[in-house]
Formats: sequence, C-alpha cells, structure tokens
Amino acid sequence: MLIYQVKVFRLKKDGATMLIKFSAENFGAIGKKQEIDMGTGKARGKSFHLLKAFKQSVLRFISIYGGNAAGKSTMIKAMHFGKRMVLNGYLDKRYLAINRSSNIWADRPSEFVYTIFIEKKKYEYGFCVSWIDEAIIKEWLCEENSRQERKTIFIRDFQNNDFDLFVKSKSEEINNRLLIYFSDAQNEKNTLFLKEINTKKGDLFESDSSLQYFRAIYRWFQTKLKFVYPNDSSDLGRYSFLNYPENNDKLYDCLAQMDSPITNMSYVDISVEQAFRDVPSSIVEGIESDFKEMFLAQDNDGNEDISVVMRLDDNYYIIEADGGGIKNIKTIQLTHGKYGKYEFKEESDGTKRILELLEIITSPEQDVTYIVDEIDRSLHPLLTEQLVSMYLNSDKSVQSQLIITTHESRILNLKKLRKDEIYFATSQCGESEFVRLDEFETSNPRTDLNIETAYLNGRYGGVPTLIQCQDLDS
Amino acid sequence: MLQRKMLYVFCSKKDGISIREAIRNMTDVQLIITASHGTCSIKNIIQKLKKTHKLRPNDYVFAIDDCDIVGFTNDCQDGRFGVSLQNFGIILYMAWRGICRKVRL
Repeated sequence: MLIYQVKVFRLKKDGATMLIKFSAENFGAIGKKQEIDMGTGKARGKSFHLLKAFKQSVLRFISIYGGNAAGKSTMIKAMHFGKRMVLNGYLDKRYLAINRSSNIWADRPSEFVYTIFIEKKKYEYGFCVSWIDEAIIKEWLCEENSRQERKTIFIRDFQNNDFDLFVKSKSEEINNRLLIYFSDAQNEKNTLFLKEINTKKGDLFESDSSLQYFRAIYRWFQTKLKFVYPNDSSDLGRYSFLNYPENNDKLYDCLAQMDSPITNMSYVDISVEQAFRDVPSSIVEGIESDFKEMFLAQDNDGNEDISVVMRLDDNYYIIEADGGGIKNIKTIQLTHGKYGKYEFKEESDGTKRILELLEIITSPEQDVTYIVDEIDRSLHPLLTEQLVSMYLNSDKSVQSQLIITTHESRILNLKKLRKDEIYFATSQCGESEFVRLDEFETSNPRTDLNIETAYLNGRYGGVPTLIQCQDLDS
Repeated sequence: MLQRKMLYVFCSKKDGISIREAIRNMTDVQLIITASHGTCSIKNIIQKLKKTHKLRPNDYVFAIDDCDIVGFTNDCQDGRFGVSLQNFGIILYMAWRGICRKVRL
C-alpha cells in the first residue's frame, strides 16, 4: 500500500468544535434510528472526563461494547459514510449498506444526522439518501442557541419539494449569490449543498464572516473527525512525532508508561534504491513525477524544497524533493535502549499499534473527535486499559473526544468510567440496538458495582449466547 | 430499559440449541445454557450459580431432563423448578411468558 501525506501544518484555530450526537437509520445492521450521544446523562463525578460546550457538558469518551455482529462497527461505518458523503459530495455505492433484516427497509431511505458544537451554538446537519434512486432526498442544517431556540438554516427536501434557505447576509449581493447557489442546488439530487458551497463558492465566506459556520462544519468533517480501523485503514499517521517533534518527550513518557522498549526515535539517511527496492521501477518513476508536480504546484516561487512523509507498506520515509525530483530520503529508526536499533517495519504489531494510537494522546491538535474501531486489536488487555486511562487523564489543555468499540471488559469499571460513557450494542431480529448504561432503570449508582461481571453474565445484553458443556456428576 | 433477567438452562446440547433458537428474539431475557450430562440436584445447581453468576431473585433456573443424557432431582423450594418436557423450545417460551409462574415449586 502506498500512501502520501504532505507534512501536516498546524491548523488555524477555528474555535471549539466537538461532536454532541450522531444518529443513523437503515444502514447495515442498523434498522430503526440509533444514536450515540456525547451529552452527559444520569451520571455524576469524574468532571475531568467532560468538556465544556458553552453551558453544556459534553463527554470526552464513549466506549461501545457488544458481541460479534452486534453492530458496533456498523455504527462507526455509518459515521464514516456520512463523512465521505460530505467530503465527496455524492452517493458512493461502494459503501452501500441498507438493513436487510426485513423488506420494510429495502425502499426506505438511510438517514445520517450529526449534532456538532461550534463556538457557542449547536448545529444539526443531516441528510437522507435513497439507495433505490441513488440520490439524496433530503438535506438540512439547523442551529440551536444556548436558550435551546432552534432555527432552520436551510432545508432541501426533494420528496416534498420543499426548498428553503433562511440564512440572511448583511450584504444584498451575497444574499443574491446565496439564493442563486441554493436555487441551482434544487436540481442537484446527487450533490450535498454543504459540499457545493464549501468547494465551489469559496470566496463567499471571505465576503461575510457571519456565514463562517458553513465552512466550520465542513472543516470539522474534513480535519476533525478521524477514524481508525483494526486493519491498516486509518486517519492517524502513525508518525505524530514527525509532525510534532516538540512533543517527543511526552511520547517517550507515554511509551515508558506502557512498558514499550522504545527509548528514542531518530532519522537515518537511506538511498532511493534501498527505499524502493521492492517497488517496480514504473511505480518509482510515477512517484518521482508526482514529486515534481507537487514541487511545481506549491506556492513558494520554487525556492523551497518540498518535504513529504510517505508510507510504503510498513515503513515510513521522509522525502525531500525539488524540481529535479527526489533529493534525499530519511527513514525512522527506533532505539530499544541498549538492545539495538530497529526499523519501523521490524517492530511488533502491538508496538506499531501503540505508536499509532498514541497520536490520540500526544497530538496537540485541538477539537479532534477520534473514532477507533476495536481499540484492543493487537494490544495486551492491560495496555488497552492503560491507553484509555492515559487518555482520560491526559493534558486537559488539549480538547479532544474519543469513541471506541472494544471487547476489553476490564475497562468496564465505574471507578474508571462514568455510567454515561458506556454503550451496549445488541442485535435483535437482525437490527442493532444501542443502549447506554445509565438508561438501565435498575442500574445501581454505587461505584463499586461490578459492571464487568454483570455485562459478561448478560445483564445488559451484548454477549453471545454460548452453550457450555459440563459434567454434573463431577 | 430494564436489565435482563437471566434464564439459566441446564439440558442436553441438542435441546439447548433448539431453546436458543426459540427465544433468540426475546429482548428482556439473557439465556445461559449449560449442555449437561450426568445427574445433579437443582439445589446444588442454584447454590453454585449464586456464587459464580450472582443469581438474583427474579432469575430463573430450568433443569430439563433427557432420559439418556441428563437428569435432575427436584429438591429446590425457593421458586426455581425443574421440568421434564418434550418440545422444549416452545414450551419454555410459553413458560417464560407466564405459565411457569404457576408451576413454581
């Protein structure tokens, strides 16, 4: 696998943004509308697990438990599908997934709704897609202020032929432009208006700052919502120490806390032949030409070299290039104290996974919502527990959120988590259902209650019904 | 949302599979099946479950005889019961829905 990532530059602060709620209907294992709510519920204590969203408290952490095929990953994929739709702007049938448990879902639309906090307001952005017509059938954006007054900003309802744009700019010219853009969008069943207005009408926001929320919402999807899957697919770079070298002390401290043998990381020069020894020459030529194009495309009058971090299979290279192509290649070397130096690809799966996930704790990037499917993949149970604990006790100045799915029941402990930070997913009649621990009526508020035992016994659902064999005579 | 009631079933493996299918979609019940062989008293089973699974008053323990594989002696007087049935899945479902309360020991 070949992935390019241009070295990440610090994002300009857009103001606090965070996820408040996500809901999905008719997507994969999800039939009836299910939601993941980051708002606080019937739980007390652990105020350091909370973020402040103006006058409301919002959770920093959510863990989703459930048996295999209960729908945990489907919820993550639904969130990711929504992100892809917003960024691509069109319906991508590769990610087609309606609920197949009953015929009633076959011709019903799929719905995705995100409630996001930006600055001092909540915004609800949602859309419905029809898989039969391969079209967007509804899209809307609403805002809610601190007094919980709700106001629609725009709605595009193709089924009821209802198209309204309620937003008003101070400038008559901008109002006219907005109306023209919105009017054009009435004929676009395959494109989301949020995407259109952000990618093709860019200078609109420069003309009127009161419309900035359109950009802020889009940028949240683009840069603040990051997904990590148990396979190689990840929005994390696995090289946060490259992007934020000033944070390396923090990273080494985290690695030491997790009993990793890595004590230092450094760059070493390697030749082009070494770096690309397993890559066909035609692809190497393609890479060279990509770098030349990147150099020409950059906006610095051609005076500065470009620096690119490239992932090739299981290794990382920092490549410097100019108009003539690749100038210099460095790779990462990991020192295990006095026990030798290793390349990244030589590390164990667990170590690679730790290095990847530690970006969540060490990155100084603000307001990111990390969504990690099966966080316990390749990790020792104690390390998973430690990772979650380190995240929850990490630097309070960095505001981020973490949603995980896991089978690691050791974290199910009310001394570590709040009741509203735990969801259980169960599959009933082919449809997933997500219930938060604080929604259980008999849920006991005592912090010494053994949630782990109750969960594994099946009190909250989300466990497989096994048939255990036993000789009663013995 | 209520926590699930636990339904502990001790029976043969074949009966366990059919019971699991019969009540798979009941949302308020968590089935714990032990495919047993040999003989045992229900009292002993309940004592063990109290220790290992934190058995609660509203939970149920079914011990289903199979003449060749498993048998139970019914010496329990605290609201649980043993049954000897033919069509376990359906009858168990009916029992759970109300009839079982009439046959409490």
